[in-house]
Amino acid sequence: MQSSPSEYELVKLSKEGNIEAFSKLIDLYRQKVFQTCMGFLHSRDDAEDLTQDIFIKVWNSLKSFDERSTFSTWLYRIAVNSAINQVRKNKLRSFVGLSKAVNDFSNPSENADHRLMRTEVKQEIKEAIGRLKINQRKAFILVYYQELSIKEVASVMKISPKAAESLLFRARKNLQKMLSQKTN
Amino acid sequence: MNCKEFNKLLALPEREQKNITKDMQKHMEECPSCHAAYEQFLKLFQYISEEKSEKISPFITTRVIAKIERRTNRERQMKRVLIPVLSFIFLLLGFFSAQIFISLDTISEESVEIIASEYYLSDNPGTLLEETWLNTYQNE
Repeated sequence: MQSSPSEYELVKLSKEGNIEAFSKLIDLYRQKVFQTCMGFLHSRDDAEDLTQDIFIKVWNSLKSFDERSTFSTWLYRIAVNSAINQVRKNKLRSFVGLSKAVNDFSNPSENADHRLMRTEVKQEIKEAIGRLKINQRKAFILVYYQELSIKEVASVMKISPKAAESLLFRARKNLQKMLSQKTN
Repeated sequence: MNCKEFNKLLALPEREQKNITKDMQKHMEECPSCHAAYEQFLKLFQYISEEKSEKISPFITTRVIAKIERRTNRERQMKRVLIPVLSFIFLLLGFFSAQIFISLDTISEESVEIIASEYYLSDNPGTLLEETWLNTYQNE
């Protein structure tokens, strides 16, 4: 996650208020941030909206970025925290009955029974990921949705690599347990 | 290999989804519940790869930049209006506070004159005041 000189320059220019430089940074990181949001929200529309909000938040707080970590680490930290907040808001919304229908990525040509089964499996997986403890969920999504290494996850979450590895192991174990309970 | 060992190996972070050892394979053939757990695990990673394959709209950059620019323009406009309005308000406040100080001075001068005239021009000038003083000294 070493900042390349061009990225360093882009961050520097963005900090000075250069919107064009910032738009290049968005192009560089939008897919990664979107994948993180998908991992937490499991809805394309919600993830896109949140990605947009995250970049606006990043623009507004760029001045407070002290370059102690790399820009990507700082950005992923903001993305993960914003996604967690959004999940909390969604939970509250569904509690008061305002939740939206969730996107399904199934193939329209699939037969109805098969599609229903797939939807059920997806729902189970989504619920299982959602039931993980926050830190386990963060580590799991950063590794499997964002494809970050253990070391990178550790620096995003401000923990040691050993702790990140242990969180990931526990996340996988808990998911295994939850999913096999459903099957049995 | 027993079920506990199998599950522990399956949960290892470095374990690739389709990369399982011969021991694990053998155990799965004998144990239907571990086989089912493995199948579920495959489904989990298939689901993740489906979600991950979703591409974000390329217009997101334009939308973010448009929002930022709209906000910056609004702030600039607000500044353009707010600075003259605030300066005018401060000017008015300055003017009124000066007025208050001027009127306070007038009041205090007038009140001194009234007290003095009441004291010297009344029938018993300062009797009450003198009595109070005397009583105070006597009490001491």
